[in-house]
Amino acid sequence: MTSKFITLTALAAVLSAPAFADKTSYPLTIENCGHTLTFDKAPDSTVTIGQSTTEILYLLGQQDKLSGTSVWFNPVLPEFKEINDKIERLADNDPSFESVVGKKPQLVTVMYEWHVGAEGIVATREMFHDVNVPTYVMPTDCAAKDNSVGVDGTRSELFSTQQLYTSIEQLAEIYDAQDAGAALVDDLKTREEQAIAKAAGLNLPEGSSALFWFSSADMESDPYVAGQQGVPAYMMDKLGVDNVVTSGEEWPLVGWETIAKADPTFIVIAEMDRRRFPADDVEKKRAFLMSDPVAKEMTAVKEGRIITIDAHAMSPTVRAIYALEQIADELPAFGLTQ
Amino acid sequence: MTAIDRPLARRSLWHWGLVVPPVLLAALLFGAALGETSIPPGVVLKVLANKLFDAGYPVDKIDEGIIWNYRMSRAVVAACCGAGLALSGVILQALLRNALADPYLLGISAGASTGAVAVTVLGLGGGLISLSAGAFMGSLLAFAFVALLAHAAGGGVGLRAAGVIVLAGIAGSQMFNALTAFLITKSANAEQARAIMFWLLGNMSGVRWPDVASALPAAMFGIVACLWNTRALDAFTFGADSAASLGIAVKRVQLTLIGIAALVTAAMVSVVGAIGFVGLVIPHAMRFVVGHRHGRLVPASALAGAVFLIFADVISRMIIPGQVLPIGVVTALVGAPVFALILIGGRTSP
Amino acid sequence: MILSCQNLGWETRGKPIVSDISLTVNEGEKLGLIGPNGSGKSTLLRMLAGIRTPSRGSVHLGGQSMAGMRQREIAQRLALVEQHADTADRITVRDAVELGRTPWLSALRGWGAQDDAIVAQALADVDLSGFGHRHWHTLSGGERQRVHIARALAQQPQILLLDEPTNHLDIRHQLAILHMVARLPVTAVIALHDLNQAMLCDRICILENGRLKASGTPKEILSEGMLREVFGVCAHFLTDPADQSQVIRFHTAMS
Repeated sequence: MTSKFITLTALAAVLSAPAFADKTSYPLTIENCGHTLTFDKAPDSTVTIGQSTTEILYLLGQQDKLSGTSVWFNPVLPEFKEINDKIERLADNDPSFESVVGKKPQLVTVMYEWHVGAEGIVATREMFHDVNVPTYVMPTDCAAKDNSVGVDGTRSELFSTQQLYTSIEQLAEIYDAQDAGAALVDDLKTREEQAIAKAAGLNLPEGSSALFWFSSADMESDPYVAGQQGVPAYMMDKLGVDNVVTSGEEWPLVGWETIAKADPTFIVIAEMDRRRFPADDVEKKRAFLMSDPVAKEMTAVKEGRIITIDAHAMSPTVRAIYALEQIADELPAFGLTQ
Repeated sequence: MTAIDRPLARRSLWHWGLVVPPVLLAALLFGAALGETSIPPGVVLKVLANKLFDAGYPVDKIDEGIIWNYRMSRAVVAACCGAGLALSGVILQALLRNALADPYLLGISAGASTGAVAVTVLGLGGGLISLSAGAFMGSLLAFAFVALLAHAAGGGVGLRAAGVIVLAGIAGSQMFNALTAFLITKSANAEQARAIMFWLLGNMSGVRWPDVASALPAAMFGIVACLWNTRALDAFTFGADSAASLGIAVKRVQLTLIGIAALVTAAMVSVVGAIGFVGLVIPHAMRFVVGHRHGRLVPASALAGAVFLIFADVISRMIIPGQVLPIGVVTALVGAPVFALILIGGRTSP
Repeated sequence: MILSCQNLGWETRGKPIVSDISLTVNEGEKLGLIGPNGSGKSTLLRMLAGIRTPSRGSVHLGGQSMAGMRQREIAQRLALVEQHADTADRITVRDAVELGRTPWLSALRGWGAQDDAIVAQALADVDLSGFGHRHWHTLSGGERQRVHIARALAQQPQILLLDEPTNHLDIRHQLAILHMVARLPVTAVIALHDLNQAMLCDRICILENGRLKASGTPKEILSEGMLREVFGVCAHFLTDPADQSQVIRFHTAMS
């Protein structure tokens, strides 16, 4: 009896011990979106081009390694406000190549290929590599995605959070912070699973659908809505609802007539700080839905089934997971469950 | 043309009164009935009956909103813009004696793009000026620049003046286009640039009934001004000097009509963006059908422009399912071959 | 209805094209304007027609200052036939001539049978009666010139101004036009190149470098000396045995 107990406890102890993440062994070679990156050591200084990468690095505890940030859609996650205030913000939007290179970073992390990529408006990856600055593009923007087709690129398969976890793991590996990386991924995976379970438990009626509205160039003009393969599509897939938008592009323009006829069960609108277009303002989006002669007749609008989420959550970022949770939390209140 | 149809030309205004309303109404009905999604014709008729005659048929609210607030308002604005742009083309082709003259010759669309970019990208006006208002002011600014340039370059009477106006228009357009490009590269990012470009190609998606309040008066103004001046426009057949010798107050007519053309075009561009080809091709096409006399060319061009743009808008929505093409693409895709056919056909026929 | 100008001048970019011309056109007369190229004939004609504003001086039409008259009023009394008026429009001959009625039509007074008759007469006067439905671009240069004259005639002017109307015409039509104009009960001012044709005018004015060199009857003005001085040619006057009229024969000037 005692020997079995000892074996069991020993077994339990071994099994419950936290998985020891490896220490990164340098030199480290990583294949990243068609380029090979080599690191002799963890980078001392980093410039980020993309809020998602910034927040991941904060979550990995690498704030000391950041010398500059850029491309912000929303205020930083509240828990990192103080840290973020201390770090230089090169640009709210797109930084110039020289401002980035001027910081002499040992790594530039990139969220979207349209910032740094074959058609990058900041620079191409080669331009950085030529001056010995490696660039890391999050796999969420290049795995199974063709950025030359469609204005925001077109995915050939549905976004998978695995791409996000890979991004986190690779960045953790580069910075020799694999402990933190593993912990973060575990946490996110757990939350994701919980959110998925909650969503499944909703038991939404067959044929329920949703629309994810990002913004519009002109308040009453065709809106930019989420296509079939992006992050919102992933959320809809997990929630078990159809996407009323049939296009494969990331953010196609679809007429309100088509959307109204499709009559989505609920509508998700994006909240952001940016005010590039009048429709960026989430209150204006809400006002449009309530006042437009066609939109206000949609069932979702009449029944008040409108959910506001962080715009950044509609992109491949950690916030996507938080938003999935949020939507799964808010849906029961709509009284849709069977 | 035989002597028999001479009398018809004299009674032209009556004649048009019989032809224009049914054709226009048919086109408007077409625009209301067809669109991105398919709505049964019966429903379309019921909605129109409800809205126009208070018939009280039960219809789905969404269908009603789509047919009346989206499609019908768009069709009306398309008709106004088509007519306005076509007539601006008629005026400029007649007064400048240039077959390639189109409403944007005077810098209107270039100025509109600059105004639009200044408001959206630079944030000029602090969010109080809409894109449309910015575009309108930009186009008038560009036109003023062109007019001053033409004047400074010595716009006397005669063909010389027409040539100077065309060149000044080109210079003005180039300058404002360059300004737009500069503002976009300096301050905008890819998304804003894309939005401006889309708008410039012509976009009727955001049109609602309030826009009719801008487009309809402008179109009416243009139509009345042209109908009032058909003889004057005819008198320019052999040039401005010839018109003067026929008793036309050349400077006054040129200033008034070109000014009206600029104003009407600016108003249309501010509502729907710069839709090309209508002002250039419709007058030529109508000359082929009804001849050169402006007594017939003016109403024909206005009607043809209206119908053409309604059709182009419907096509832009239906040609690719689930997606809306910019209307300027459709007018060019249709306009260019038609233009080519006119050129070829014109050579062989008398 | 007489036409006169006082101290008329026009300059461009500081260069005077016409300077200080004063002349009077008498009612019913056929006045010829002659002078070498660049002497300012066209410019003078344009100012007399009221379509070019003089830099200096004034024009009077029927005693009234032209500067104060509306273009329409001028066009009802005076018609101009230009040298180089052309159009790319595919109009018919009839369309072109009908334009001549423009100064008489208005919103209140539309086209009538009377206007048809006037147009028909104008076409007949220039011997183009069957040409109504011909298209402009199918006409020869001479035919186009005659259409312009018909258009001017359709204006029913009291004064006809013609800028070298016989250019491009074959000899038969040159003579026909001149004789037709001579017969018309209008006052006419004709810029001419052919000095022999000028002999048919009642009076002629000679322009040299934008100035009025001389004016008077052809007999008075056209002397061998004048021709050598202004045109740089040697001329002899011969008498045509057929009708005893004077004909000029030219040689190059011996230096």
